[in-house]
Amino acid sequence: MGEDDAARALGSGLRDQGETVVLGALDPRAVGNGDTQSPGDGPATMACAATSGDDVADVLARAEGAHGPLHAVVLVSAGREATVAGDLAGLGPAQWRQRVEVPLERTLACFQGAYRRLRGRGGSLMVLVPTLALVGSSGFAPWSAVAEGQRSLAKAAARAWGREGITVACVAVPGALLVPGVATGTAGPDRRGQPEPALASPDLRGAVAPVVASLVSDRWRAVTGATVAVDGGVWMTP
Amino acid sequence: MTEGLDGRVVLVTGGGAGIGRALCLVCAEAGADVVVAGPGDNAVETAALIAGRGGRAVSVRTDVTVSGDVEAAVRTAVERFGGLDAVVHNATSRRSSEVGTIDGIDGATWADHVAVTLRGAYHCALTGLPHLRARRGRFIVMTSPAGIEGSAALPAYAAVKGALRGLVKSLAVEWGPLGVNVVGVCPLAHTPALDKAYTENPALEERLRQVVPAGRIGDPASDIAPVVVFLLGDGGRYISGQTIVVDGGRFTGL
Repeated sequence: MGEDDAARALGSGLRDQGETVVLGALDPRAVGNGDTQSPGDGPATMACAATSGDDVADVLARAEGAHGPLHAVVLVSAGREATVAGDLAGLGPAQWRQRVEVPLERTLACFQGAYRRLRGRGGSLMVLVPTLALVGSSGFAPWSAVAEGQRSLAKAAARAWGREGITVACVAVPGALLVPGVATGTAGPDRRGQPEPALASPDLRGAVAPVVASLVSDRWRAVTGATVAVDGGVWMTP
Repeated sequence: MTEGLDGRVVLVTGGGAGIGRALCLVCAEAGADVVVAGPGDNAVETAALIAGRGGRAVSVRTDVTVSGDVEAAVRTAVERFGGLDAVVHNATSRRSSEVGTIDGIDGATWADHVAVTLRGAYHCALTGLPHLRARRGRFIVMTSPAGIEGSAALPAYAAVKGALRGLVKSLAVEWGPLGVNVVGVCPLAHTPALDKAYTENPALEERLRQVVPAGRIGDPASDIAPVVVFLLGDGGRYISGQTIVVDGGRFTGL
């Protein structure tokens, strides 16, 4: 689920790993007038406004009808509004709502929709969050709040759904990877003065997607509620 | 250096009951002038209790989901006591203790949690910053163990309390250069909500006691409020961006 370059890059990476991928695009313009679009060699895309759990469950059902059984839902973005930079002191009430409350509402809808399709048969829900939520970043308090809300909801879901065979985890990646138009390797929204990465900076398609593909496999069936940082060893948070 | 709050002005949201009332009383005992912000008459009672003990306090009817109410509370602090040194955002949804599932969260429940906990924090931050900046003040946000560990029974509450922690971390980075510290406090303590949960589930208290190494649930006045007073005082001036867990040793995961 997502609406921008990040979702497409991760989707392509998951396809590289042999997964069948359908993107749920928050922006309906991504699919034009049709229900589904499959541009070039990229993943098929379906519109998903994520206005409610039923809305998301309906899109997932249609994706299953067209592409086969659902094993995992990956929430890449709950709306690019959250990623917009700006000091909190300059944030008006409407901006606050768009950058914090709407993305959290979409997150809840995605969780509810995923659960309604996965309950009774198991599966995985993965949420990509920016590492800046773990450590804070000036100018990104809204995004940080959204992502930490997502992590907390993911833990709640992991505790509640484990007995139903549903695992839930978060994958923390450099914020720059999730912001449209920011080139890999630039500081982007991530905290100034951050440590140098111990490894090469990851990209979504080549480095993050293989981790996500693995996390949604049976090999990780004993792991749930965790946050796995795929940031090249920058923060090494406890 | 002193751990007292003499001459400091502290505004506490949700100050009418529970931990909020304890924070008001103990801050006043430490010498602070207190603005008790709350939506009900019990905020008036808290202020009266402080006055009865010789402290200085004023209550302001405050619904933190309404920006104008928060602005009025801050304005009262400035007009009555000459400024504002700290805002403690303690208010939480009246639905905080309502048990439910993620799948069962309806729009109204979710909206109430978001409005009180998150939008309330936004209103406090926005309105408080100019005054906190002028006095190198503190913005304290009361969060919850559910916001760190997640909660199967209280998922909406867990989500917004977790979101508060994200807000704390980024605001601490953002406001550090302005001289304002931002800290989260995560208490495990008796509250009206917890006591209500005990009534509904008598086994809960014993079960909680067993998982707390200290062997008891914290007392708002004697266990939680002194930590907040410390954070508001000189001793807390180099602490920012953290979530301070005050829970008798239950959570040790950091």
